[in-house]
Amino acid sequence: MTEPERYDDPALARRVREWVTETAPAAAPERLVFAVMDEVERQPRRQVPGLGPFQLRTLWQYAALTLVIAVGVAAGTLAVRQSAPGASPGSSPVPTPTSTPVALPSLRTTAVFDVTDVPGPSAIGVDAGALYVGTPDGHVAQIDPASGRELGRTAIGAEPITITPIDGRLWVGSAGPDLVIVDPATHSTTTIAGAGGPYVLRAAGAIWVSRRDAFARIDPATERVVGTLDVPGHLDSNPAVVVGSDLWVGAGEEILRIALPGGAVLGHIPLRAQTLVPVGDSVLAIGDGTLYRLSLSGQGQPAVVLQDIVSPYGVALDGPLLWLAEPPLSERSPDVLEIDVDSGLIVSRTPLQSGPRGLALLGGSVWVATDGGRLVQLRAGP
Amino acid sequence: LNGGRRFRRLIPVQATDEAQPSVEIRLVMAARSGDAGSFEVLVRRHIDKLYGVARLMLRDPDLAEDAVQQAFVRAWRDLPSLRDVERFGPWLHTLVVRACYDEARRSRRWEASVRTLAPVGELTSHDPGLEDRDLIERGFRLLSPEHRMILVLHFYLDLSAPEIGARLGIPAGTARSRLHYALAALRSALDADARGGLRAGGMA
Repeated sequence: MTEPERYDDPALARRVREWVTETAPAAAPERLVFAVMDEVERQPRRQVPGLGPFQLRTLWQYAALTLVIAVGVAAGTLAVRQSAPGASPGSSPVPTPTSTPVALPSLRTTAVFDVTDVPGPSAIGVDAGALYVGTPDGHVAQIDPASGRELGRTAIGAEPITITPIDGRLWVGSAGPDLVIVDPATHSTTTIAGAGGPYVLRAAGAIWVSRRDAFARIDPATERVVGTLDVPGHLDSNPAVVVGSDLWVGAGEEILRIALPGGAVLGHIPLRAQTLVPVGDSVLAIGDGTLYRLSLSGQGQPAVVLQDIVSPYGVALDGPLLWLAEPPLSERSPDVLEIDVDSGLIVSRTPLQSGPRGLALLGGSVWVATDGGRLVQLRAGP
Repeated sequence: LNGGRRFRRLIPVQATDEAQPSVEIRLVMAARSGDAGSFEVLVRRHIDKLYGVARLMLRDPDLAEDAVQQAFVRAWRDLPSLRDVERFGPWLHTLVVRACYDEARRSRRWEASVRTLAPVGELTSHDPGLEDRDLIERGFRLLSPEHRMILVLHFYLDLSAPEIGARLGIPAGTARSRLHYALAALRSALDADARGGLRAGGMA
């Protein structure tokens, strides 16, 4: 144990510990080992994929891949996926046990900005080359990505959870009762009373705001609530994305695929998802510590992409590269992971000094809002 | 009465040595590239602890064996997609937790077993330790699967709240509060038992 727990009833805790010790089986029956191995040998095996064709969208992605290959060649292997024993955690493994394990490349941290008076930015968003962060005291601050200087601040009235740019304005999702739209040019705001919710989506000619067990439908022309889509089981914290004209939404133990604007349920996927990301011809889902790929039809079993993933506090997609900002585990630091979702391989891993609050891509850099009021810029490089 | 069991508990369930981490990592790497022999070694290294978790949580040897088998089969199938080979052990814990939840959901046998418990009055032993363990046993069976699991992870595997959170995919604070509520629920069950109000079906 890393730290002793304090119990309200230490005597009961001691009795439970004694009972566990006394009643736990000393060993598993030998027949269970045989049963496991019999079943294992009948199972089809998922193959370790090779490095797939990358879409190199930026110079630094090319540099990151070059570094991976260079390190791999030096180690006698082209597919460098595994750290050595004792190396930093978070690396992923070599396909063959005879290869020399090496560490994955990390991105270079090029700037760490202290966002003035922001104890912990709560959200991050980008639009038209500008960077915005939410503040716990209920503001959206515009940051100059070149200097890190704060250019302006707009009061929202509640802590922002998401910042969604739509037609040049920022729709700010929050836990507050009202929905606030910010015009970044003038710092003016429009408030839609009673329409607050954490996620704001645009689909089927309307704006949809997630609520508990429902989505509010807003007419973007009049900026008024014009209806409600009932989604039983949907919690504020469950993810929601739009793919084409379909809403994919977490609802308890499953993901629902719902046709918009009518609301017909097209499919149920039995997966408790904490994150959903549309990507090309599929949807990525993170749940139960696993990154899955789901077909757009919702048919078939979710395909496992990567195991042992923590539900991220920030996610962004660039071509086949998925960027995740993971909170810390007891056994490893908070990380920014770059995952090639075609191959399921981790391309880079960058430890963070403190826990992430959000992540965005802008100008060839990865921007991470972290605890402690910091804005971190990550960029590939020597 | 349980002397034999106590004696067996003195035998180390899992050998430990200085080189274990690197041996384990080499085995995991070999297994992920398809070496079933290495995987069998890993099974033998971990199965006792995982079986212990499943037996304690499910209170049924057949369900526990099913859960452990399910966890290892999934480990073999999905091992190539495991992110960190260093975290093979914690990942196995996660898999067996999920498998136990699946078994608990699929089967109502654990509820049936509550109804077949012998009444307190039928105990012939006056060993206070045995009677107390029996009380704990009855209270434990009335807990929800989530509460039972967190008690097992904490008291059997000696995992801290952050470590439990990592395995269950929940924040450390949530794990800590769940542990608190699990113990409180157990206390309530014991109090109800003491008042003679313990009945089959039990608490939610």
